[in-house]
Amino acid sequence: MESSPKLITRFAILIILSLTLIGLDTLHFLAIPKKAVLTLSTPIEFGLYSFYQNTREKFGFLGFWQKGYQELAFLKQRNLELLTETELVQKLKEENEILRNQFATTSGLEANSLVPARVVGYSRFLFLDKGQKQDVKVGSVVILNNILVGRVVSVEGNLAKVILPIDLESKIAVITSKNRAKGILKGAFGSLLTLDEILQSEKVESEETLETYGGEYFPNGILVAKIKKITGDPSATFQKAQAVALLEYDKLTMVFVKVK
Amino acid sequence: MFLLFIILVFLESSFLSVNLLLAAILAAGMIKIDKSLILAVFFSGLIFDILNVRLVGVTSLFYLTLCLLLFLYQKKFKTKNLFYIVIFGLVIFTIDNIIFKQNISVLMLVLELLGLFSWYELFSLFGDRKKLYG
Repeated sequence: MESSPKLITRFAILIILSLTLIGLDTLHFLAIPKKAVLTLSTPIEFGLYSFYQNTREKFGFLGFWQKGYQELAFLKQRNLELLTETELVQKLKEENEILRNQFATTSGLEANSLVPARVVGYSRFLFLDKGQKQDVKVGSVVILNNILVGRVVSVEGNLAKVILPIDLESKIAVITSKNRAKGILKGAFGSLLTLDEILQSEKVESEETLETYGGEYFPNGILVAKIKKITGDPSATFQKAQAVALLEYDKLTMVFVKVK
Repeated sequence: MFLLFIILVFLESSFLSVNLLLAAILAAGMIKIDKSLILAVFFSGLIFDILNVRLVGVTSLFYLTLCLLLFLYQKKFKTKNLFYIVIFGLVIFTIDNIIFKQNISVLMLVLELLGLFSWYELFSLFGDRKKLYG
């Protein structure tokens, strides 16, 4: 066994080395070695993530609830599609009346600025296989079927880290699609979210969808969640509501990143 | 040991939410700390940072500091005192969740503690440390 002073010296050396690396990375001097590691690791990560998704799917089929599981998944998917379609139709009508020129861009997002990206990892954040090389930048918006997936918070050559609306650090300015009540959507982990800071004078209903509205990060009109139930004290300054995300983030395999 | 750490790094970067890497490092550190372990901790921390798009060196620094603490209090763990293992594990997992996840979930802490026990038992089972560390 090694003597204590010798081992403590090794600790000291490695700790100093770690601090040096932190300094170098802050100054972006580690871009090349990071790129090399990511080039090798991204396919492995994608393989593991796909394996995880496939295994989960297979275990779902093996269960005695097989039929119910399939039907539920189908209905959920169909419900989501209908919800999106209804919103799109509604939006088209409004836009046609107000701005004829914009009816083709239903959500305000231009198709040619969307980069398809594969999901290579999901823990607290979502990891995508597209990065700086494909013009993905910190702040780029990630969507799927005009539903918000999140926002890129850090990016490397071929990897992007996306913060999800359900993250505790996430705060999104939203508006309800029917009554046009404004509020702030905050993450609460799981698939639940909290809709806060809605004025008492505003009307909100359960099952109403929420879409982005202003703020520095997101363009207007991207669907995010739907209200599950209204909570909060009526005598308080603001109303509160519990919302549920429209996407199951842990099941995503492909998304689109909006690049300018 | 390094190979195990690397596998855990990849699993955590792909889909695993429970920090089994930290649990494995703690368990291995509670049993014996030597040169090969601290090198494995250092390099797996670096790879973890790169794969998770974190500032390179942050995780290594955190894990090395933990190992240093474990080394300084090694006698306490050598007694295999369950109390020390639970308290130390709980404190470390809580700090890790606060720093890197900004969230404390009781379920996650329980799972991580279970992971710590499992690794500890597994590493103890392979009592011949030479086999583990070469």
